[in-house]
Amino acid sequence: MTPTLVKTVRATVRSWPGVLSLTVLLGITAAALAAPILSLPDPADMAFDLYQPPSSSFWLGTDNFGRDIFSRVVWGARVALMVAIGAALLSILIGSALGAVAGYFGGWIDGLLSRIFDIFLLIPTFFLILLIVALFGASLPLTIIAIALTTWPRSARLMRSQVLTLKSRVYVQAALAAGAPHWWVIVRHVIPNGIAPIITDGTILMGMAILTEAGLSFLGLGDQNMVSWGSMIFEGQRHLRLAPWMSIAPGVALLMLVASLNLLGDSVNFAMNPQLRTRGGAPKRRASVAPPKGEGPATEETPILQVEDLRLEYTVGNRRIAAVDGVSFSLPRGGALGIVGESGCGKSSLGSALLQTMPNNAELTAGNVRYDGRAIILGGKPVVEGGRSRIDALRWTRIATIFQSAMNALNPVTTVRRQMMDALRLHRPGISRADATDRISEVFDMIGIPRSRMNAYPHQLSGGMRQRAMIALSLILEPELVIADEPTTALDMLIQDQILGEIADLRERLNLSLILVSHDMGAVAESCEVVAVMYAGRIVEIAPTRRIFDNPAHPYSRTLIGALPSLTGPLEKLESLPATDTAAAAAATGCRFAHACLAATDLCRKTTPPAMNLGGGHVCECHYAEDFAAETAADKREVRA
Amino acid sequence: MSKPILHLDTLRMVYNADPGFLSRLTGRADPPVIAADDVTLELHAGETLAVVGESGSGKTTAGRIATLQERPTSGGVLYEGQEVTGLTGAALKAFRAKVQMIFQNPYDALNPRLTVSQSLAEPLMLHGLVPRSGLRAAVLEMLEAVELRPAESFADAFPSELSGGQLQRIAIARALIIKPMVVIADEPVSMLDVSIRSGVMNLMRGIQRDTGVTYLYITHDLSVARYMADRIAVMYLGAVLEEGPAESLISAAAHPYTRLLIEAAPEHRATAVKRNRIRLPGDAASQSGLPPGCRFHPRCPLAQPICREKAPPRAALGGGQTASCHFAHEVKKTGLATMTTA
Repeated sequence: MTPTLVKTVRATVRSWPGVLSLTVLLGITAAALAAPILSLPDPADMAFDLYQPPSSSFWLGTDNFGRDIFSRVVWGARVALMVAIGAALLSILIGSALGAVAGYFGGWIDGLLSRIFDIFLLIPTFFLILLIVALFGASLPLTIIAIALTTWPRSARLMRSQVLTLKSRVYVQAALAAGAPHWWVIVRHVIPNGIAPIITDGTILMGMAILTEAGLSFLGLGDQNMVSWGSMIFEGQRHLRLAPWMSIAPGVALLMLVASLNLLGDSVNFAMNPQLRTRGGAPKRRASVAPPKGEGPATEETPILQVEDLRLEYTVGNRRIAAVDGVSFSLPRGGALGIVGESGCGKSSLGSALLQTMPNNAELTAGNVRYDGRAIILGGKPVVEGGRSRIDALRWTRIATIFQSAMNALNPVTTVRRQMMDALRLHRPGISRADATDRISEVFDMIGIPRSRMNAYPHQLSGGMRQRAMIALSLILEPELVIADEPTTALDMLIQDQILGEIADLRERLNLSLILVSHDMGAVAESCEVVAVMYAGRIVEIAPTRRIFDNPAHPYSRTLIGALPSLTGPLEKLESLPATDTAAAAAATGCRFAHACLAATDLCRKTTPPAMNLGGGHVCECHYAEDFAAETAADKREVRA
Repeated sequence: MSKPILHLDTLRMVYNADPGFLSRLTGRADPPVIAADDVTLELHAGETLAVVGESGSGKTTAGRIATLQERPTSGGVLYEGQEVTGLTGAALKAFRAKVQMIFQNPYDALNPRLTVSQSLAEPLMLHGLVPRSGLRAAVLEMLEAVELRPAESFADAFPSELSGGQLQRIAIARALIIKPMVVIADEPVSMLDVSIRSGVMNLMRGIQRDTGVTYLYITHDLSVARYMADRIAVMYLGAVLEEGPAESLISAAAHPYTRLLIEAAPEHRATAVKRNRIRLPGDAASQSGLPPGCRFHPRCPLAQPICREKAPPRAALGGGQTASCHFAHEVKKTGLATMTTA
């Protein structure tokens, strides 16, 4: 059993449609399997009790020949299940094999096979079956084959589209590079990873097959020697007035089986597709609070942003994960703060928390945020004033964001100019078209986009130009604070350097305050005066930029700096964390970094380190911060001497 | 110098060269993409050659051709002096046992439905190098070699249970388990966190020290190239612009593009509080239309009239350093600053 299978089964069983459909299916299957050993009357046994309504001796009554309908329904389930499983298996087998070949090899093979799929999809099932019955006579195996012949292209097309994406996966490429022949790659790497949706679809196919067989039997084209629900309904409808139970019983059985198969298909699909599961749900209505009384007017010295003990938790399944776990900092007007950390440390969550743009499964559980001296979040709740939350009023007009991926953040179907125009007119309803155009040109000039590119669509711009357009869009309303989340990560080195230069220049010219979130220590160094290092949801060290590079006091910051290869300095062996390190492994008690720290002692593992103030705005959460800070300075002197 | 173990000889790779009848008829054909234009690289046994370039420089294409995952439009691949460009069947399989590949994305490198030991045993089974009974022992030994301990518990893990750094170590183990002579590594650490990255680089260096394997190390990061490589080749728009021993290439680069890359490195951002940034005139390069003359001239701060007209020859600068620039000697001596006034 692969872990994915176990997980899928678990998730299926957890939802009520999954449980319901599985129960019904298991019940029907058990009854069908046990039919010969149950002490049921022979379904073909004719008695003298014709047209008996349901009673204690005949649970579902008898038919026009006096046969027991309950027994016939149970035996009919065998036929239904045989048809369902047989036809679905056959069409999945043929379909996924041919679909995989078509998708994998592409070119003329794909062209030829795809046309064949199309032709088979066009054949009407009933026509084909009529032909088969006319040629070979009616029998159950022939019915199954006929149904499979008209349904396999469905599986084939699904598999083909799966394979089209699978064949560029790295593990498929790696197997080929290792010298594996094509058939090996298809059988071992492609089909097992693409089969899941085909199997899900298989439950729907099973339902279709059962209905088709019932329809055939209803027309008298089914196997005459077997009890089928379809033929029962057919016989029953002639006696509908006299004995309605004759067709109602098999009809209800048919409905239950097909409905539960479809329901199962849906819930398996839901369970297997994590995108449908985790993010789901409408945005929670978040409780809000009124603004506190006695907020003094902001002065020049008031920090533009003050964050106190902010906590953000994600709900994943039944677990709650604190991505931001008590973060405090303060950003002076015109200042720039770099937030550095590795994947999963909570730096992007922090950025989204400040603007209240978190995904629906995230929630602020504690903390205060003040913008320009006015509270916008108190105790984790947004502050509402006059029916509108304060953050809504600030967003984009005074606090703007630069996202990592400009391609995703810009609307692909409208021009860059149009998007800027929309932003302007939304927030400044009175602005005239001419003024708006002037303002847009001004921003474009400032950011270094030629005016000729103004009417371009995002996809017509290069990566660097697109990122510039993103920056222009964030600056169009003259914000005071810009939060940039990895603004240069996807760009090439030369472009990255240029964009960081633009941001630094703009900051100076417009007196912007900046929060720059990045994984790259070097990238923040030039643009920010203060750097905060995050690990496992906390700021473990914060200091003026020069200070943190020259005298890092936290072992984690020291690793981050020591792990970067130098381009012009001496070639030293790089430091690294053990391969087992992940922020998730951080212990609940003691220092979060202790499990990966080379200098960790018993004290670190037992007691959470306090915030040590090292003077000059340098704060570090490490028991031995003072020793480390001093040691680095001493080392430096030694090298110089 | 001795004969190269792997030699890429004036490779050219053009995608979409023939747009097809219908597109030509409607006039909406996409222009052909020149992924590699003129790539010549020599890889010597036991060394590491780093290929540095931005996206679209053709570095990945060069790596894919070196492993024969793709066949070049023109030019050839030579392994130990033998032409291997057109190999198929058993001969190709034998070549693959000698030249292996490590990919960029560790999170996608392993089949999610196979255990680590099944994935690692696969190359051994394909090449029939170890009897079935010895597979497990060979896998455990390899896991020890990439420092994943305890090997037993890693062997039975599924990829979804492992972190990026661990996955990339396993991908390295899979490439090395059949003891290849050459390993092409395409940005093997660029998707890993900084603190994990250095561990993987140290591991690769350690393995080279122990086994003498040859690396072709593809990266966008010059400082990573310097840490890993003996020699560095800088690529731009499908061609090698400069090549030389790592230290001399970085301390005295002879191509303006290399100089700009060094200037843009994060390290300089960290040390220089304020510096004079050169505003580059052009935008990032496009692979579909090569400019006439020098391919770098639209973005070059030193471009002269001759650069727009004539493609520069490859200038030999001594000590194994070569650069394709009309002013290679001057740039090597004085860098970017003094030239701008000339």
